[in-house]
Amino acid sequence: MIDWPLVKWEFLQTATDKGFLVKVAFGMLVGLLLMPFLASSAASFSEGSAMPSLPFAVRLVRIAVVGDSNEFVTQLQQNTIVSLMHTDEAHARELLTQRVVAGIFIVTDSSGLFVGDGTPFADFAESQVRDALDNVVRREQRAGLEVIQGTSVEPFVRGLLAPFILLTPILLLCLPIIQSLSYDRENHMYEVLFAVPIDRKKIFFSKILANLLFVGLATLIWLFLVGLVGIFFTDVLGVWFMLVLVSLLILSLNALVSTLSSNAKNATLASSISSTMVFSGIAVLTLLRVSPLVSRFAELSPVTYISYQTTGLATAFPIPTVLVFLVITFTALLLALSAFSTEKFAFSLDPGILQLYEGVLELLKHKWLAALAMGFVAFSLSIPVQVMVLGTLFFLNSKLLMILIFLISIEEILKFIGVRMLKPESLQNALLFGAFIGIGYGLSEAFLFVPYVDAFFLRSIPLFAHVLFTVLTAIGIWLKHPYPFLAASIALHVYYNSSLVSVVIS
Amino acid sequence: MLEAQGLVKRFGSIVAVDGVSFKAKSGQVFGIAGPNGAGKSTIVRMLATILSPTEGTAIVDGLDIRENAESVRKLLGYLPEEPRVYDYMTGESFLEFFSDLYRVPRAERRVRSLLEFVGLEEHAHRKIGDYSKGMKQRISIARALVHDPQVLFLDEPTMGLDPASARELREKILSMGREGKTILVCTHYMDEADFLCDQLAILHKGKIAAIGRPEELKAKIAKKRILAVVLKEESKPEEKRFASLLSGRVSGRSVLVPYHDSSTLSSVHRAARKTGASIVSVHHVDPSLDDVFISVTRKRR
Repeated sequence: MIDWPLVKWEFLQTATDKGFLVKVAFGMLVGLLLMPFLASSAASFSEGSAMPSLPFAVRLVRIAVVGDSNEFVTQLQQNTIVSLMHTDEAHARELLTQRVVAGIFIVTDSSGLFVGDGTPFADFAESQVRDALDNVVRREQRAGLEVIQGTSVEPFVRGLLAPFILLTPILLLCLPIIQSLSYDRENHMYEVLFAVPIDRKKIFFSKILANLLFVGLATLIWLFLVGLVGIFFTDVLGVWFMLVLVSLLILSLNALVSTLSSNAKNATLASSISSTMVFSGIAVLTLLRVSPLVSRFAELSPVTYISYQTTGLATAFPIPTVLVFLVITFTALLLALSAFSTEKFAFSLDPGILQLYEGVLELLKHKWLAALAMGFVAFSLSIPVQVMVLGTLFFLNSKLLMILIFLISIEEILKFIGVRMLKPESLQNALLFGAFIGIGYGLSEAFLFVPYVDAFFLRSIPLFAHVLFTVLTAIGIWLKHPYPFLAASIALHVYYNSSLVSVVIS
Repeated sequence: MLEAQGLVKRFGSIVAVDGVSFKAKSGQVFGIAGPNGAGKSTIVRMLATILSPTEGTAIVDGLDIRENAESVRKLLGYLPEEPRVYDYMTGESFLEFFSDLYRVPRAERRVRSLLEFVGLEEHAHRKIGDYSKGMKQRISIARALVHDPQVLFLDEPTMGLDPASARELREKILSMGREGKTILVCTHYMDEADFLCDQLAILHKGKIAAIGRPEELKAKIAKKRILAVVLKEESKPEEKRFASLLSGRVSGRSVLVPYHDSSTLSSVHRAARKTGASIVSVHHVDPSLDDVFISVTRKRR
């Protein structure tokens, strides 16, 4: 599956591209500088409002202070947005009239008096004075709580944002695969590469592997560098493996968009969209931690794992995460390879999504195998879409039935698209394609439950259910009345799943 | 050594190549000539196993291109119509890269000698992106030869080259043929085909319209002799109309007209009267491959 000389040349091409390496180094440097900044902001955040704690804030608003300095004034002095002028009341009023100051803070023992001129600056000055007073009063009333806040916010920011900073360079590190696949296509290099005695699959996987090796090495260096700014992990190897896993997914998606785009520019644009979707997906998953109801889904996010690792928690390496990522990665690679294997890929400058189907057929030779692959593809596509929808519905406080309807509609529609692409021309074809797409989908779903052995056996019945629902959809397509049959399969699926849920709950 | 057997290639409803068969022996330069879009490049791509034939097959050195594609690729060197190069590589690293892909052992590498062969030894360490089009074509030729293939497919090898470089390259192709390599050349320059090829197939709309040695092809239409009619300079504006009335064509200063029988001369004078053109001279000429090409393609229109 691999041509090592090609891997060597591809790797060297990326590793010796000075322009690209400078960009990577710059990206990493920004990340490194951002970490201490976030940590200090988080620390200041616990003290009061967020804005005055930002280090880049300048002392924009002048306030005249009348009276002796006390705790309120000291608190106000820590605010980086305001600058204070100590003076007597008459002079202060003169300064206010001349608009030299935005307001006057007349200090008394227990509180104070604010005098402004009604301008927006004065309102802003008033809110800063109010914040200072509130902070002092709050601290006096809840002295014990301050300590808890002071130590909990920073680890929270560190635990949640550090994984994102850790993952961000991956977006950049995974870009050369686009250059590698799209450059060769744009410059018609496949006309000569496909004439050398190396199988096309080998060319494809060698390019992927060379890029993965580069990313693997770069992320290892990156993990060492983040240690310099005080981010440590309980299991460095586990975190590195997680980074490589995410990289492999992004690389595969980039390979897919490169094989479907006519040039590197379009591919880069499509890559930024797909990478954003991946990052949003794992972010949504992580945020599900806030509710005990759905918190177990959060465990699927690499961010959750890395977050635990940064906060010193020794958590086990999440096998389900690996399985989910591998399923999506495998699908992206299958589709990318299918597109790569077609003649259109080598010679057409106007590739389209339809070439995927042609490619899958060319690659797998038989329609029933292509149908099985379509089921697999439908499942992989359903994961990110369902995660997004699940996250949105959850935060909208939707009812369980509503969530079921949405999630099941996504499953059935994706399988429906698969059957449509295969164009069943006879009832026999419709039954065959529907059944194999259902099997492909059901098997992939069951595969993800491998770590939960009991559930795996439980999934064998839904496998037949998927076959039944998809066959129904396929018959609708064959009869040229697709939508009523699709609606019927969704309704049956919802009924089936809701009864399953009620059994589990009871 | 090379045998195409009923090659067909369809792209959707378009038939690009329609049942092409021919044989080329070892050491022979076999030419495929035809206008743009005739299907020349598609045939070469099928033979180079980049495209798979819709029907038919080809045998290269005893190996079927459908069943032994990878083994066939080891035997052949392929030069596409346009230079396909990596602009960011140097000439030398480009050849090293392909030597690696063809698994040429270090001791047998011919990078230096190939650079000398194509006259680029002084530019070996320059990036290909800085090469001229002619230099890119020459480094492509060297690339096609890195594994010393026994069969060479050259698609429009002299396109974009200046006349001196084109001539030099033609000599090199002939010398490689003398070394015993089987060479397939696609061209739309008939003089090039005439100069290079031992055998020539004229392709028209995906089909072979004529095949044979260039002399044989010329001799076939020599039976239908050609008249060269030279018109006066002031009759230049009428030249095209004059030619079309006689189903002839303009070639340099003459209008070439197919000679059928003695009545052809009367037709020439009639056409001159009709168009108001004045004739300077009329004489018989030997046909060129251009005439062969026009004759066979017109017949099939």
